[in-house]
Amino acid sequence: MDENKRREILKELMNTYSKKILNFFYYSIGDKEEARDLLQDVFLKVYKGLPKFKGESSHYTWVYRIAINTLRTYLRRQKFKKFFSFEKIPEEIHPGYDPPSKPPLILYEVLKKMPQEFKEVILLYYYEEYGIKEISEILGIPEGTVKSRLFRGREFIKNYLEKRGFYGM
Amino acid sequence: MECEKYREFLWDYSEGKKIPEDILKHIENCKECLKETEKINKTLEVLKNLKHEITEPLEIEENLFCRIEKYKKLKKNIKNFSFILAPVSVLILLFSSIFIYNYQKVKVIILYPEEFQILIPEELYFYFKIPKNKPFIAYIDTQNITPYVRVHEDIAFYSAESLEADPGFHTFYVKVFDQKGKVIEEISKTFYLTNYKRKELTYLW
Repeated sequence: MDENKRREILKELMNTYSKKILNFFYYSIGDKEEARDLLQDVFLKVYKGLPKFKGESSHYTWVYRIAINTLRTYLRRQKFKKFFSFEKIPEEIHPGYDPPSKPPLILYEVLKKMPQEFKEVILLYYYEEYGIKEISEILGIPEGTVKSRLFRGREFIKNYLEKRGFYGM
Repeated sequence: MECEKYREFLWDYSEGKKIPEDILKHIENCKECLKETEKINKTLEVLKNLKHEITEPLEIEENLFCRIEKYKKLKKNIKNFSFILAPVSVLILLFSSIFIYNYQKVKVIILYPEEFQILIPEELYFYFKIPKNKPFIAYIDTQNITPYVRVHEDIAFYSAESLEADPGFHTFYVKVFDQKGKVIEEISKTFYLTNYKRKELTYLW
């Protein structure tokens, strides 16, 4: 693949997806700098993979798959570091979000507590606004599994809010 | 408890999606379900906040193109020295982390599901078999993949899941250390990832 063409496509993909993926990462891990580093990793992988991308799936599926895998690898590495490290690493990987005033704090709180497999689906559905079918393609899991993770993720949030007295009952 | 089975539909109902007529009838006539719907509506209000974009990809492009240049240089070097020599440069990365189980010398056997070609399902692991109850210290690394190894009694395995994003040569290293940190066993295997979409690997040597 011609280098100019390759960079052109890369830039196009960056324009389309970088903001969305960055925020997706930020919501997932709660650290702006780490999220930016991960975003770079994603597009480096996209650049490397472009000559072999044959368009059998759409760009968004491909780019998001890379993003999800990069995120999962990162999260596992954090867990792994925590587990095997000789040094004492504080309980929380990230001490806390640095949230702007708009979205309520409770949303960050619940996202931090939510298991990764639910969080992915919740973010793809409510933040990226992808449909069940698209999410199933991105995550490479059956639509039924997406639906059940979505349900369990939503119930997780609802129950969390309930425990925190959010419904005033 | 009858309402339990309508739970999933309550979300669709609250989001204004179409649901079967009989279920709709139940929900609209059931106090429990309507109460639950109120909670769901409030939860959806909170979830609406997820639409906000809260951070910007600043200076990403510049940094990224720097890294691309580095990557291209590295790739050129790899071509010049042939792919067999290339992974040597990566050995430096090996010492970022180690597992400690104990200190005796043990033999590590690498197992593959098939000899010449490996088809990777959703999540496949490379098995590094270690005789039961024998203590060891080992570290596994690859050229382009972030190291992640899980150890289970007599097997340490490596997740190959992230391979799909990165087609090309991948070298897996296994190092076994004694307690003083001296290397007592070294193994490396290189694969060529031929098709990241189907997650197919060709075994080279």
